Amino acid sequence: MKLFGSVGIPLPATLSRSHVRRLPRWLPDVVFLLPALLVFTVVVIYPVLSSLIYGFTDWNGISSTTHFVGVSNFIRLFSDTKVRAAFGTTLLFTLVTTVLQNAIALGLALALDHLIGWLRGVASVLRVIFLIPMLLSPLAIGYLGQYIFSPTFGVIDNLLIAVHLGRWARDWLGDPRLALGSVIAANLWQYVGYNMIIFLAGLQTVPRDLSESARVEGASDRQQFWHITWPMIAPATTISLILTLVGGFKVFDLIFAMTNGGPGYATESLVMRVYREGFQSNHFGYAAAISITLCLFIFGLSVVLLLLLRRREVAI
Amino acid sequence: MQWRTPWCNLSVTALLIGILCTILAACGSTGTSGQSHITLTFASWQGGAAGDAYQAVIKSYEKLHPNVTIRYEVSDATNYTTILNTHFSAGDSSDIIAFSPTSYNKAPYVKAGDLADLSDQPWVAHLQASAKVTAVADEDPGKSYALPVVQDMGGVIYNKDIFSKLNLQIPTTWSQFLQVCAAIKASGVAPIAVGAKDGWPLEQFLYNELVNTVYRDDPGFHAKQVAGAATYTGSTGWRQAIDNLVALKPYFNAGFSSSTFANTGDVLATGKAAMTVNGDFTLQPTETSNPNIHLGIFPLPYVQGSSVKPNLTSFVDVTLGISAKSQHVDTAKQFLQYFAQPDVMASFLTQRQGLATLDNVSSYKVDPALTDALPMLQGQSVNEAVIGTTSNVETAMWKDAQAVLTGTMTQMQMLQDLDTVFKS
Repeated sequence: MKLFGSVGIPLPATLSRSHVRRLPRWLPDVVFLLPALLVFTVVVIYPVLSSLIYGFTDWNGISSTTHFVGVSNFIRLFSDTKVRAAFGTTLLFTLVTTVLQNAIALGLALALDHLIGWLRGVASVLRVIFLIPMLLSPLAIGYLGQYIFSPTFGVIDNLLIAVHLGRWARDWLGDPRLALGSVIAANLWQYVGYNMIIFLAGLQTVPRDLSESARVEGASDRQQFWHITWPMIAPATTISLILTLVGGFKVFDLIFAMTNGGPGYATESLVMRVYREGFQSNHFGYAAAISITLCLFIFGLSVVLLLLLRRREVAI
Repeated sequence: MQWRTPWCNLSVTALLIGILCTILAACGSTGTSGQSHITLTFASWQGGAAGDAYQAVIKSYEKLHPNVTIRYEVSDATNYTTILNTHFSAGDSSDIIAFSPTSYNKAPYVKAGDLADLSDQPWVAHLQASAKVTAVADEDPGKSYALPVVQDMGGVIYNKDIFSKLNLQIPTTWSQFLQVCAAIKASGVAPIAVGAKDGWPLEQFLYNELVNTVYRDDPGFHAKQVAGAATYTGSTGWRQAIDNLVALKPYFNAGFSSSTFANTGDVLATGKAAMTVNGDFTLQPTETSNPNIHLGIFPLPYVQGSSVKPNLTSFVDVTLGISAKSQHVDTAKQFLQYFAQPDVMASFLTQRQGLATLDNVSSYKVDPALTDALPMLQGQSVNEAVIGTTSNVETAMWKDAQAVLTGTMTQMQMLQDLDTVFKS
C-alpha cells in the first residue's frame, strides 16, 4: 500500500512515492497540526490574550467603550480584602486536597496492587467503583453534596440521628467552620479514584523481582515501600501532585454548586471571586487582572514544584 | 459497486433535491396570514406558578398571531444578572427581557444602549406613578425602556392558623414582635423561615427594616449617597437594620444558612415555621404546596413606640424591556402592547396574584392573604425603588448579610464593604 510519508495514511492512487518525496518534509507535520492549532488559537490563545488586554482596562462587560487604566487593576487586587480572603481559602483548599487526595489515593493504589489470587478480580471491580465519581460532572457532585450535607434532608445528619448520635448533627454547609471541610470531603470523594489510577500505573512500573529479592533479603513491608516502591513511583507522584495542585487552585464548579461560596465568603475561591467581579459586579477588567495574576501564580508554582520533583526523580 | 446503476443515481439525486427543497421551504415558511414566521425569545428568572402566568399571556398572544412563537426561557434567579450580562456581552440577548427594578436593574443596559426606547408606546400614558419610576431611565426620566407588569408588597408573611392556635396578636412594635417570636419558638415551631443560602431573601429582611429605619424619614438618602453626602457607614438606620437582622437569628429555622428560598416555602407550607419576611410572591408557591394553609401579611414592626405605624414595602417586581439589537423589535413591541391591554393584564394579575401597574386595569382578583394589608399600601408603605441599590451593591449585601449572620463579618465591616462597592 502506498503511504503518505511515514504516518501510515493510504495515498490516493494518483500520488506516487516520487510525488511524496518532492513534498517538503515539514508539510505533513503542519497539515496534521494545523486544525488543532486553529481550534486552540480560537478557544484558548485568543481569549487568553484578550484577557491580558482587558486586565489593563475598566471594561464593564457590556459597554462598547472601554478605557485604559494602566496597572491600577493589578495594584487594587493586592489590597482587596475579598481577593485576599479568597486566595487564603483557595490556598487552604489546595493544600488540604493535595495532601489528602494523594495520600488516600496512594493508600488505595497500594492496597489494590497488593491483592492477590481471586482478590485480583475484586481489585479490578474496585478500581472502576473508585473511578465512577470522577466520571460525573463536578456540578452534579456539588448538587448531590448539597443534599447529602443538608441538615434538613441530608443523609449524614439523618443517619446520625437514626443511630442516636444526633448531637453530632451539624449544618455542614451553613456553618463557616465546617463548610470548606464539607466541600473538601466532596472533592476527595470525586477525585481520589483519579489519583489512584495514576499511582496504580506507577506501581506497574516497579519491577517485581526487586521487591521479591528485597523480601528474600528480609526487608519489611515498610522498608520495601520507602526504599523501593516510593522512589520508583516518583514520576507518578510528580504528575499526581501537579495535577491536584493546579486543579485545587482552579476550583470553581464544585463550590458553586455546593455552597455558592458561602455562607458569606467562607468557601469563596479565587476563581469564584473572578466570576463575581466579572459577571455579577460588571468589573470585567478587574476580573481579568485577577485571573491573569492567578494564572501566573499557578504557572510559577507548578514550575517550581516540577523542578523540585524532577530533581528528586533524577536523584533516584 | 453493483447497486450504483443510473436509475439508482437518479433516485439519489431526486431525493437530495427533495430534501433541499424541504429545507428551503422550512426556512421561508409562511404563516396563515402570509407573513414569515417569527420566533421571539423571552428571558426571565420567574418559573413555577409565576412563570405560568407569563406563559398564559404568551399562549393567548400566539393564538391571535399564529405567525409568532414566543419562547419563555427561565434562568436561575441567583445567577440571572450573570446570564443577562453574558448574553448582552456576546450580542445574543433575548428579544424580550424581564428586569427587576431592585435585583436585576435595567440601568446598565440602558446606559450601554442595549434596550429599545419604548417611550412612544400607548401604555406609557397609563403607568401609575409608583410604576413609572421603574420604566424610565435614571439619566432621562422622559424616556421609557420597560413595561412594568406587576407590583408586589412585602412584609411578614405569617401562618394565621399557628397565630390563632397560640393566641397571638399581630405585633405592632419591635418588642412585641420579639415576644411573638419567643412564644412561637417555645411551642416547638420555628418562628421565622429564611433561605439564607440564596442571599436575596436576606435582602428582603433588610429592606423591610430599612423602610422603617431610614427611608420613611429620609426618602432622599440615595440621592445624598450619589452626591457623596451620605454613606452606609454613617447611617444609624442602616446599622440598626443589620443589628435587627442579627437579633432575629435565634428565631430562624434550623439550618437557615444552607436553606434556599424554595425550602422556605416548604417549611412554611408544612407548618414547621410560622413566618417569613419576603414579598407577596411567596404566597402562591406556599399555597400551592398546601391549599389549606391560611396566610396573611403584616409590616415588619420596627418601631419603638406605638405612635408610629410600621411600613410595608411595595415594589414593582417585573418590568419587560426589548433588546435594541433584536431582529424583531416591532413584533416585541406589539407583544408588550398586547400584554398591557386592560383585559389581558387583569387576567395575568389574577393568575400571578399581584397588583396592577397601569391605571386602566382594575378588574382582577388578589390573593385573599393580602386583603387585610391592601389598605396599608396607601400611606403605610414605602416603595423599595427609593433604596436605589445597584446589582453589585445587592450582590455584596447578600454575601455580607450571610457573613454577618454566621459571625465571620461584623456589622460595621458590612457597612464599610457596601460603601466600597457603592463607590466602585
